[in-house]
Amino acid sequence: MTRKALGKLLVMLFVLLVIAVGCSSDDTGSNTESDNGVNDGAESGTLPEMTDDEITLTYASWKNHELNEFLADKFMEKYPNITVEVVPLDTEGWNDNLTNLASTGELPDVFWYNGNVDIAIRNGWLGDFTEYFEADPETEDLLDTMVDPGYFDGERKMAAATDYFPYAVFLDENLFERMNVDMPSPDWTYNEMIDLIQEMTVPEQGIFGYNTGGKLLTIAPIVNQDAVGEFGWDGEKYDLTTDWAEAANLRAEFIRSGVHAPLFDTDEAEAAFGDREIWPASTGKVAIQIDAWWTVGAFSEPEFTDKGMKWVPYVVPKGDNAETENKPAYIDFGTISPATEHPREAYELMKFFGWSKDGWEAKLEAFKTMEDGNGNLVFKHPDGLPLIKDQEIWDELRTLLPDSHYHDDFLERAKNPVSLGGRALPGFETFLGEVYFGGEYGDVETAITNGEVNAHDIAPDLTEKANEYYEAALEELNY
Amino acid sequence: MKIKRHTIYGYLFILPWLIGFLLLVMWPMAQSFYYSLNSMRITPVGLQFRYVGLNNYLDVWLKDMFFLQELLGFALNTLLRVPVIVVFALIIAVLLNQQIKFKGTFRTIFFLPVIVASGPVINQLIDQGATSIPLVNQDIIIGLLAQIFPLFIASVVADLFSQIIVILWYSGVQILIFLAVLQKIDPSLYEAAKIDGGSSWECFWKITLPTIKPIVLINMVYTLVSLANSGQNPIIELIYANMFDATRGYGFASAMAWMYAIIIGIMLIIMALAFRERKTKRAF
Repeated sequence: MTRKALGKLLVMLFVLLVIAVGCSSDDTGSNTESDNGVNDGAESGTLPEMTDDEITLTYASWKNHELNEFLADKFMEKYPNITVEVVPLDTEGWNDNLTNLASTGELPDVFWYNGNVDIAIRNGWLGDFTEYFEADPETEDLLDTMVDPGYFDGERKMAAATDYFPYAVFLDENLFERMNVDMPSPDWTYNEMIDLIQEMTVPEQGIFGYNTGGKLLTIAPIVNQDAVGEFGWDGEKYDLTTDWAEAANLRAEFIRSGVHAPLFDTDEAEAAFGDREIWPASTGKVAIQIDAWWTVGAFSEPEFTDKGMKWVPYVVPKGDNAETENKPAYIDFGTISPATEHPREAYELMKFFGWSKDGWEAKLEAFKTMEDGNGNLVFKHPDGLPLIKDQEIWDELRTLLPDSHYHDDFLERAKNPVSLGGRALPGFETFLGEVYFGGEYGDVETAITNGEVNAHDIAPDLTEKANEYYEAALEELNY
Repeated sequence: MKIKRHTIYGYLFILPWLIGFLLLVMWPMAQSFYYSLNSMRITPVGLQFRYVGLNNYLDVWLKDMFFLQELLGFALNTLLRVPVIVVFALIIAVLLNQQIKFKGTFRTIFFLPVIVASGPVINQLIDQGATSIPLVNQDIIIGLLAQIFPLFIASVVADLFSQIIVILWYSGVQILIFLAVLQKIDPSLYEAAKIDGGSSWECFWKITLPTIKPIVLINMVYTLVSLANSGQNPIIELIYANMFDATRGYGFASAMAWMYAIIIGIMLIIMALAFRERKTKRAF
C-alpha cells in the first residue's frame, strides 16, 4: 500500500468515525421547561404522600462525610423504606466531578453545586420542585431572605439554600482596650464601622484598621442599598453605580494608605510583620477582621489567645439608612436532579439535609456527640447556622457556643442572610470570569486599587454588562 | 489478488496496536471533532448537541483572550527549550558513549527522571522549588533581560533559568535515542579520519553530527510533542478549564484542542522543513 493510499484510507476512516459519533451521540433534543419538571403527582397546595416502596436515593454534598452519613442514617430511621447512599466526591473540582457523573447518567438524586450556578443551568441539572416547595408547610419556617433565592426565572423553584455561614466582622477586644476605644454597639452601622476602621489605624504603632476576607464592596451594596444580592442586585437587575463604586474606591484608598493591612505576599507585608505570607489577623496588629462565621472556632485557638488577642464576633453592620437587616452570607445551594425517579422523596431528602427542623435536630445531635478516633468531638463549634426561624433550634445551637454576650448579639442579628452572587444569581460567575476579573479592565479591583481606573467611571459599563450576562444566563435556563 | 502469508502475519502482529489505535485514538479524535462542531450540554439524561458549525473555532480566537496569549508564550518557550534540551541530550549522549566506568549506572541516572518525575510528582517538585537552582536569582535575571528585551520575552527567558532542572529532566528519552544512533556509527570512519589527522572536534562536526542529523530532527519532534502535551503546559490547563466552564464546555474546548493540534502540526512541519535532507548537487 502506498503512502498516498494509506493517507486516503486514514482520512476516510476518520470521516466515517465522525459520522458514526454523530449518529451514536445520545442527543435528547432541546431541554424544554417541562423536561426539568419533577413535580409529577404533586397537586397544587398539597404535598403528595411519600412512597412506601423500597427505594434508593443518592446524595452528594461536600459537608463532612461522617456528618452526611449520620444524617443519612437519621433520615433512613425516619423513612425505613428509603435507602440513602452518600456519594463520596472529591471536594476539589466539585462541579467537574458532577459533570463527569452527569456524563455517565449518574448525577445524584440530590446534590449541591459549588459556587457557580451557571454550570448547573447550562447543563440542565436543576430540577423544578416549585409545587413541593410551595405546598410544604415547613417553607413558612425558612428565614425570610431564603425563600426567594432559587427562583431563577421568578417562577420555578430550582435550587434551595442548604447551608449557611454569615459574614462576620471580628474585633480584637484586647486591642480596643489597649487603645482606649469603646467597643461598638451590636447594632452598629456601616459608617460607624468605617469610622472605627480609620480610628483604629495607628501607623506609628504599626496597627492596621482592618483586614479582609470579605470585602467592603461586597458588603456596602447589600447593607446600604437593601440589595438582595451582590453588586446592588435588587431582584431584577444590578446597580454598581452607587454603593459598589463608592466602596470600591474606598477600599482602594484604604489599601494604598495603609488602613487596610498589607496584602498577602507583598513587600509591605514583610516590612510590617517580618513575614510576607503571614495572616495579618494572627499578628495582633489588626483591629478588625472582616471574615466569615467559620473563623469563630479558629479564633478561640491558642494560636490567637496565647498572643493576647481576643477576637469577638459582630454581625456585618446595618446600612445607615437601610430598611432591612440584610447581610452578606456564604449560602450553599442544592437541587434535585431532573432525572430522579423519586422527586418527592428527593425533595424531602434535600430538605432534611438542609433546612427541615428534623434535620436540624439531627445535626445538633451530631455536633454534640460525634467523636473522632481519639474520642474528641468532631465539631468544636457548630458547623453553620440554621436556615430556619425555629427558636428552639437557635436556642439549642446557642448552648454549643462560648458563653459571651457577643455570641448572643450575633445570633440575634444573623437572620437575614443574603447569598453571594455566583451561587444564587444566573450569569454572575460568568460575568466575573469574562468581565470583572478578566475583561478590558483586567482585574477590576486591582485596577481600581492601582489607581488605573476610577470605580465611578467604569460602574455604568459594568452594570450594563452584568445585566446582559444575567439575561443571557436566563436564556440558557430555557434552552 | 493473492495475499502473501507473511503479509497476513505482519498485519496480525500489528492488529493489537491497530485495535488500540482505532479505539483509543481515532474514536476519541472523531468524537472531539464532532463535539467541536456543536454546542454541547451534559444533562442528567444524556448529552445534548446543537450544531454550531465553525463558531466554536471562531470563538477560540475571538472570545478567549488567554488562548493567543498562552500560544505565543508556548511558541517562545518551545523556541528556547527545544534546542536546550536536544543539545543537552546530545552532549550527555556523547559523554555516555565514551568508554567510562559505571556507564550503565550513569545511563540509568539520566533516564530515571523520565520514570520518576511524571504527573503529580513533577508538580510537587515544581511547587517546592526543587526544579530551580537557588543560587540563580530570578529577579536579577529578569531585571537584566528586561533592559534588553520586552518584558514578555525577558520573563520567558528567565523562566528558562528558573526551571532549568525540570527542562533537563525532559531529556532522558532523547539521550537514549542519541546513544542508540551514536553506537551505530561505524568506528572505521573515525579511524580513517584520525589517520588523516582529524581532531576529535573535527570528527564530531564532520562525521558524528552529519550522521545523526535525521535523529536530531526526530528528537526535536519528540521534544516538541512532549512539551506540547506536558501537564505543565498552560494551554492544556486552559483546554481543561474550558471543558468545565459554564458558558463554553466540551464543544469549545474541543475546538481549542483542535486549533492547538493544528498549530503544533504547523510547528512540526516547519521543523521538518528546516531539518530535511537536502539532495547534494554534484559537480560534473
